[in-house]
Amino acid sequence: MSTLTAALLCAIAYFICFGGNWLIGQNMADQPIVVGSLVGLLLGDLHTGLVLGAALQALFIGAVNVGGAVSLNPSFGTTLAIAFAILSGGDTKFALAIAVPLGLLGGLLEIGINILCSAFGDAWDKAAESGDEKRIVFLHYGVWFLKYFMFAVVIFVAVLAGATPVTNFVNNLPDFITNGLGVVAGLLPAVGFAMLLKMVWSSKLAIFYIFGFCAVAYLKLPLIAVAVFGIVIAIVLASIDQDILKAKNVNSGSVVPSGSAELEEEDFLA
Amino acid sequence: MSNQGVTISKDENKMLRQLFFRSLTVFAPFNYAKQGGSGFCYTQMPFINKYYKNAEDKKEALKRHITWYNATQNVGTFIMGLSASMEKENSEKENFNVDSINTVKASLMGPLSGIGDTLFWGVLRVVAAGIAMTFGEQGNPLAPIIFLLVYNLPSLATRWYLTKLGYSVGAKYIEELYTSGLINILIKASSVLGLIMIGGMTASNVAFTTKLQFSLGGGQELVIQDILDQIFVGIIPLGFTLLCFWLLSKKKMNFALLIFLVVVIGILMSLIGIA
Amino acid sequence: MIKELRVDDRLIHGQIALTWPKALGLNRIIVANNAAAEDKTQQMSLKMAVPSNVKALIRSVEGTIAFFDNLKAQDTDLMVIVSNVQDATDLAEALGDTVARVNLANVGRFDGVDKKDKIAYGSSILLNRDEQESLERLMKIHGLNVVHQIIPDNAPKSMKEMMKS
Repeated sequence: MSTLTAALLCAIAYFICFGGNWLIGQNMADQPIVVGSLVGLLLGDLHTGLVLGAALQALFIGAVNVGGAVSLNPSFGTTLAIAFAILSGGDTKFALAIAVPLGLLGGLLEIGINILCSAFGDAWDKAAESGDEKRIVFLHYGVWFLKYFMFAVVIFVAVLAGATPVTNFVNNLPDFITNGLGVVAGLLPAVGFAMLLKMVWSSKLAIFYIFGFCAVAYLKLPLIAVAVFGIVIAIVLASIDQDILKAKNVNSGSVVPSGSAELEEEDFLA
Repeated sequence: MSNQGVTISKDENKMLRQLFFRSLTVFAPFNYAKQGGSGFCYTQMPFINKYYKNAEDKKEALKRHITWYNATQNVGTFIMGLSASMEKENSEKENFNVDSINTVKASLMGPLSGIGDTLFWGVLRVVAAGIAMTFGEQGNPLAPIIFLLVYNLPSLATRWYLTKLGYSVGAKYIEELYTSGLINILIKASSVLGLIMIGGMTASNVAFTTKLQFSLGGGQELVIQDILDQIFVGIIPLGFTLLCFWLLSKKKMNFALLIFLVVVIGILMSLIGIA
Repeated sequence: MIKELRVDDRLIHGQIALTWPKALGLNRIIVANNAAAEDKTQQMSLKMAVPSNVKALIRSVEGTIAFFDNLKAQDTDLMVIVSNVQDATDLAEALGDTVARVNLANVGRFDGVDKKDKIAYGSSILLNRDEQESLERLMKIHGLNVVHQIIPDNAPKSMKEMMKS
């Protein structure tokens, strides 16, 4: 497949996954497991796309862009890493190591494009002020298209320009680095999981992390079974907590001091 | 002012469906000036057009909702539904305090996003990813499909449920939710699920085997990895992940820096022959 | 003591509820706003916006002034949030030394009056004529420290300086 065709296909895949994710309810089409599969499929190597997509999913799983703050763009890193891996003849370990720096670059690109699109803020205000609903909607979809078209163009250029240099670079790496990258590939998901732990960790519940770990390490359970057990445990706990809450409410009377402003103020100052 | 368990008419149901579908596009043109503002306004338009007859009132309503907005979108429809019902009330009642609409929007964005981010980004996505990854590793093309289904079915169901809830029960629901402590129970239960999944994924996906071995003379080998496995299977991956967690949360290390360090350490260990 | 009398047209929202109490070393907030005091929905959503370790009280401006008749209230460290300069001035004039400082953070961005008819200080303080008059009354209060500081990470700017330029 020519680099030009590959670049075009990657740009299209990226537009569908990244643009599609944001157009239709953040359906997660931009997560590595989906992007990787699509890129692999289009470039003629679905298997690599799937395997790498799964590996990159573990790596990028901690990249959560919360509250509008962007740090990494996983779909950007995944698209390029998998494209380069497939085009350079399938060195997958290297792909894992470059995915993150590429993801960071993607993050910077995203911030830049977001800033550019902020220029439309005034246009929206003006449209609202003149009651022009059609214009608000036109801009709403129009800016979406513009944004993701720009991203797709960058991907196109990156694949076109990068395929050959990256292939040459990878093929000339000394053994210890290639092997080292294999080690890195095994360790990097830990960083992603650590980021995730930040969201749900509490010292009281930490034991459940160990439980999940042992379920796989010793019981060798597949993750789908772990998920089912996890859901069962969560529901049981929630049900117990609800009973505790009911009992507490019965004991202390009403939960909110009803009516009395003085009582509320006493409680406030207590 | 409050909506007391209103029964929803056919017309309102139709508009709520429109709200639901439009809400899918809320962050499509995401930019720093408005974030979800244009999308939020888009979802309110069917209601604005239905309830306000006079062009000035419509303009005011549009201006109210074109302002900056950001809430996790799987749960943000609660605010959209609530806002729509408040706009309806505003159009019907003379002395309705119209400022309360944006105040309620502004104060709900934070707490709803906190809950939504944990439930959807932190837990549901991880559960879906964990299950899909096992398929992906084996090269099974069902992987992305399973991922998308496991994530989106509950997500869409929640989105629709909260749309109707925000619209019909609105104010009363906030009061109940606040006083009932149910939110904390929900967060705790989902954190438990999240931790179990992340624990399982740590064991499946973080890999480290050391090549270290020492010869003890007389043909005997001391294979370090075997010893480690006897102490605890996966002790290095587990310990390493917890170390990263400590570095990121307590020491506030920069994520990118940590990645860089791991790459360097990995290559060094290969160079020295440890791994 | 009111460590901070904050003027914010969005009252309690987002990071304000999370970062300011921590930065000021207190865990009690009073929202002094006539409209919110009448409106159960607003009250409930304002209370949802504060973290679980922070207590919130919502009163009218008059009600807030009356609240401080209680000696215990005067001795407790807390933060008061109002939505406009006039309310802030009324409170500061009535409560005197109980107010440590006034922080004009975000004012007048959404009251429907055209930007062109307003006097602007920085990008987030937009005052119509009545508000400007209230501001001048506020600045006349002897010994009162009036600043502009949106988030704790910003450096506080003296309003006196901002008014000069």
